[in-house]
Amino acid sequence: MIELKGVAKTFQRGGHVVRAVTSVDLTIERGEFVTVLGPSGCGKTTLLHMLGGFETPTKGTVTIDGQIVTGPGRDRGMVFQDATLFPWRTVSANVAWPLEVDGVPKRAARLRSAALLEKVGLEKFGNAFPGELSGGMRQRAALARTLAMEPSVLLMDEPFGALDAQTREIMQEELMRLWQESDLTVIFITHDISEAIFLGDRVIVMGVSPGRVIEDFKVELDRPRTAEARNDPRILEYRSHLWGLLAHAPSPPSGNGSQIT
Amino acid sequence: MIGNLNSVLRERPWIISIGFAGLVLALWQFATIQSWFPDYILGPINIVAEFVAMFHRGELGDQVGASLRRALAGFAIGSGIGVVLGLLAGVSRVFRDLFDLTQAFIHPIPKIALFPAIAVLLGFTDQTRIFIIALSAFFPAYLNALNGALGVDPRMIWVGQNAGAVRVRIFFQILLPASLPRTVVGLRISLMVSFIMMVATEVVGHSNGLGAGLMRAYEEGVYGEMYGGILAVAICGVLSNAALAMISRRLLAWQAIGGVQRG
Repeated sequence: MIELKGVAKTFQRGGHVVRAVTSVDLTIERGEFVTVLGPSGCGKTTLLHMLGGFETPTKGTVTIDGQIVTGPGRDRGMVFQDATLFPWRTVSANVAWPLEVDGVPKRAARLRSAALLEKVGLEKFGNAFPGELSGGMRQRAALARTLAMEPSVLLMDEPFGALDAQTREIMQEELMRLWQESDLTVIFITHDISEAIFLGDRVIVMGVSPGRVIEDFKVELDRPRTAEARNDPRILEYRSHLWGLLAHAPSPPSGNGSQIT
Repeated sequence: MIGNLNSVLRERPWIISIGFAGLVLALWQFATIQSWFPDYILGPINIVAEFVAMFHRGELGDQVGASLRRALAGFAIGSGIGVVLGLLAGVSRVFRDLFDLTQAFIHPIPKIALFPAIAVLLGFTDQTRIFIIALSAFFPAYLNALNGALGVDPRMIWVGQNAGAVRVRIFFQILLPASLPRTVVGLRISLMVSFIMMVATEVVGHSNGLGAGLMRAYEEGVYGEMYGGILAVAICGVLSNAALAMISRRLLAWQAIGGVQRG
């Protein structure tokens, strides 16, 4: 179980204080798929970084199974928007890397990496360099690399944000399949309402200035979810509800108000 | 016909490079034959002949050996330390602040100006010369490695921390390769600087090596040997630069693949 209690994060930026996240209370059960939805500047990425242990909360605590998070760990695997693969290593060497760090012998690591690549549909691309792959394939490889750590929690920061619409839907369905076959807890950040609904058991809606949770919304689409679920009539209802929430939340004071990323 | 010629040149760009260099050399040779220049300027054919003669007399080999040893030792020491400290300063605020002021003060000093000061301590010895070369090679390597490290996506480092990698592993397996494209630029400048400082330090004080040979030839008025020596310096420089370029192309082969392609 993941618990956030009164979590807040402020940054010092050019003499004034930016309140990225204010007082978030949240409980996420083991095996849940939670999507976090919000416009840019709502602090959703900061929230994820604090869960990952890459940033520390200014106030409050993040605990996992009762343990306070103090830094990054292999139990929480992070997947970033740009795949952040190591461009100097082949795809298979990228996936094997976390295993090598863990002291797994090279040969065993390569075998395990091949199995993981098969799981994400990249079995033919182990010898390719990341620069030779499409955006969707790079995300698959990054996911495989993260899964190599055998995390219990997947933290995904808009992983499909840069993909074209069709690839994105395929990736969502593949992720669904992977998650349903595992006992992973997934926290998935997105600014795409349909994505948040299709993937999540719950949609945590965040608002801006200051960044905070405005609603914890339960999605009651059937599990296991496949492409069929996209035609569920309830989705329209959910969409208009979430759209209403985001539209009525106060927009950022200046600048990038219209740009939702 | 013209179009045909154009496409031939586009496919073989070296024809233009070689052609231009050949033209300049031919003009130069022609001018010396016509005695347009004073006697102490030799034509390219005469210089090559001198060079070959010196090579056969065996004096070039010793000079090149002594000089290359200094240049490469200085380069290796200076740029090696420069890359390591530069990368450290790139990832650690403390290191950056630690070196910043010192670096900013020493960098603008032409290192050859320190030669007498170091010579007081160590004499006009190989150590002094290697020290000066290393000091000169340090800065381009340091500054480029620093900027390379500053440009590394911090999330690359996070990937390493996420996997629980220790600092040394993150340094060598993530930071070093990720900043390599920029670091290599620094190394190539460092190598060039090393050759400049090699000649500069050999000219002063009693020394051996190519620079000393040049200076002796000048003092004795044997201009043929002077030009032969200059040619030897040029050849050493070109060859070591080509070697470094080849090594870096191999290390950075991944960069050429896909490159800017995204999405």
